[in-house]
Amino acid sequence: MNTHNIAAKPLLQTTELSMEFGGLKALNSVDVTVSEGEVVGLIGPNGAGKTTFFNMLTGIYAPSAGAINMSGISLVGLSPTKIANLGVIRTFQTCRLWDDMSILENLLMGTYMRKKPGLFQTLLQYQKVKDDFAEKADEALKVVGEFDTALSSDYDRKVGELSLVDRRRVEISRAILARPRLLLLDEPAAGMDPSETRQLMGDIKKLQSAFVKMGVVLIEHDMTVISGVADKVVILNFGTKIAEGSFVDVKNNPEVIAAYLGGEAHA
Amino acid sequence: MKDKSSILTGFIFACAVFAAVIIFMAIDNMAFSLALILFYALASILLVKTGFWKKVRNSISDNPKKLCLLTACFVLATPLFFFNNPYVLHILTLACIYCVATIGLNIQVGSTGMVNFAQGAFFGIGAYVSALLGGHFGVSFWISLPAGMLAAGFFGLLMGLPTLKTREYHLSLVTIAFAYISFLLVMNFDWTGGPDGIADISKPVLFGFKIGQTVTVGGVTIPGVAFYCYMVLAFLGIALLVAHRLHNSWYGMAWNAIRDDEISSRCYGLSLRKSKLEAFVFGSLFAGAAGALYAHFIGFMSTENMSFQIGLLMVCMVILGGMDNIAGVLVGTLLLIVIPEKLRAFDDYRMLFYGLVLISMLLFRPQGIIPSKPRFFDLKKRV
Repeated sequence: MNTHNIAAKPLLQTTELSMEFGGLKALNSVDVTVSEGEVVGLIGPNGAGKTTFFNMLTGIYAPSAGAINMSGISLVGLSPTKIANLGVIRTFQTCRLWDDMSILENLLMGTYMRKKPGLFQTLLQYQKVKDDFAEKADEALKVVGEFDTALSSDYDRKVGELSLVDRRRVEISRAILARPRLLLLDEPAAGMDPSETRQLMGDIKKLQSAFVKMGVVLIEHDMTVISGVADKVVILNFGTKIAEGSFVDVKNNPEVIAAYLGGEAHA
Repeated sequence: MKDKSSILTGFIFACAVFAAVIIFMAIDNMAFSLALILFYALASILLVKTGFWKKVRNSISDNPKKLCLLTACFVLATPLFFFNNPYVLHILTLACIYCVATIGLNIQVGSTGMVNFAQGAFFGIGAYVSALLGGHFGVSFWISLPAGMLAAGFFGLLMGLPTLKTREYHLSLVTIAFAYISFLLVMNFDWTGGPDGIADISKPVLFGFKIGQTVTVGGVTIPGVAFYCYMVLAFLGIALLVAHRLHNSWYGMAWNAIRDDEISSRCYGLSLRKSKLEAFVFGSLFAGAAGALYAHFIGFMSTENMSFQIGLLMVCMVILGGMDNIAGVLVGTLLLIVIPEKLRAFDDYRMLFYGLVLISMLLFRPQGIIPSKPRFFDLKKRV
């Protein structure tokens, strides 16, 4: 964890970020800061606006109001493609893999934004394309092999046939292969059993030490994951940020307890 | 480490297919043809059910180079059997020309999942541009063919632009509209010959030799169509190489990713606009080349050969053969060209036949005769 690293530079900053669907305020004036190397846990009841927040960061929705600043560049109005090229990479709550493609093909596509052979090489110097694929495939299989060696040895299975847990592993590996500066994980532990969840936590920590400058935002309902890996927790309820701080602090915040258990806040 | 399967299975299979094709093409009797078709269909089903087909595929993917070479030899040998039967050569040449167009269409329909019904229009654009350049300005075939390709590619780009905002059925509707617009334009312009089309399109000349003239060497008469057939085979070879490399490259991967999920593709840095336009342009270039080959082969081009029906037929060929699989597309195209020619008496029911084929494929084997396979990457070491 990086809690002692006070001097970390801010990577992502949202100011008064809002999203309205018709009359419904899905997100209301949310300020979140993610520093380099920091893991921010984003929690809140269903419908609190967590995934909407990700959709705005990645350009799928254009915010109704507010600003998103990624190390000096405004992300508002940019296309998902451009934002991905700036290093914001996400996973999806429902695992959006390319189902008719193999495990290895999915992983390789994670490296799509890196330097790769162009049309000339493809048509006239095909060996270069092959070498490029071979090199990246080795790296890809190493990354996914960290999760499960069955995935790296059965690399030509279609991902559509995989179990939910394996699909999540492929998806997270694909995200890592994209070398993100800011990684957005949408409920990575959903559908995993406790031992798989523990393994996932270990993997997130490993990532942190491997990529010290990478910021992570993690949406998760499993509090063991949040308490285990998050440096900071942000809590959303009905689209509004109701608390922010270390897990221990927010755990005892009466507003948070009210949001999760229902009823009025006592504070 | 997987065991390499033997080359023998693939070898036997290739020989059997070669023999089957030669026999089928040589037969003139319709009842006999019909019986053979049924026999082949049964044999193919048996092949799949007994698991032999899997062995064949493994054998092919483990020994790709040798078996490709063998297949190429067989293909080059096929016309030799029919020097006394130009009609068969004519059908084969036609089938190969269509193959060039359908492997281009496969980039859009199979790889990218954009069902484009306008491939017939691009075929026509290539044909008309090449024929008009040759007819009006006396431009050589070797220049008018690339010109036809470029024109088709340019129109592919033009049609691609409005489709960027659409998906699935709506995208298909745009392509249908384009097919009809170009058909009607060519039909109503004066300089295209209108409904009369263009006649007397010249044959290509290579080093003073007119490809398409009959030659007698030492008592053996080689029909002109045989030369044209070999020329088309050479073009088909180049087309296959290009299509294969595009498929097994970042281009093909990006197309597949867009087909499977547009949102996650964008979140991983793909530009939908760029990739989709590339798919349209590459596909149209193939169609343009095929059209030019067709016009100079038949010597006559009219709007009938660039209508919506042609585009529909090409989509059928891709779906029948196997989407996103080049070998499959070749098989689908050959079947849908050759079988109707062999069953000429039922010509009135041709469209019905295409429809039946399409519906039964979608019901019983939606992935096509030869389904696509994951790409094979040269891994430094297999894990």
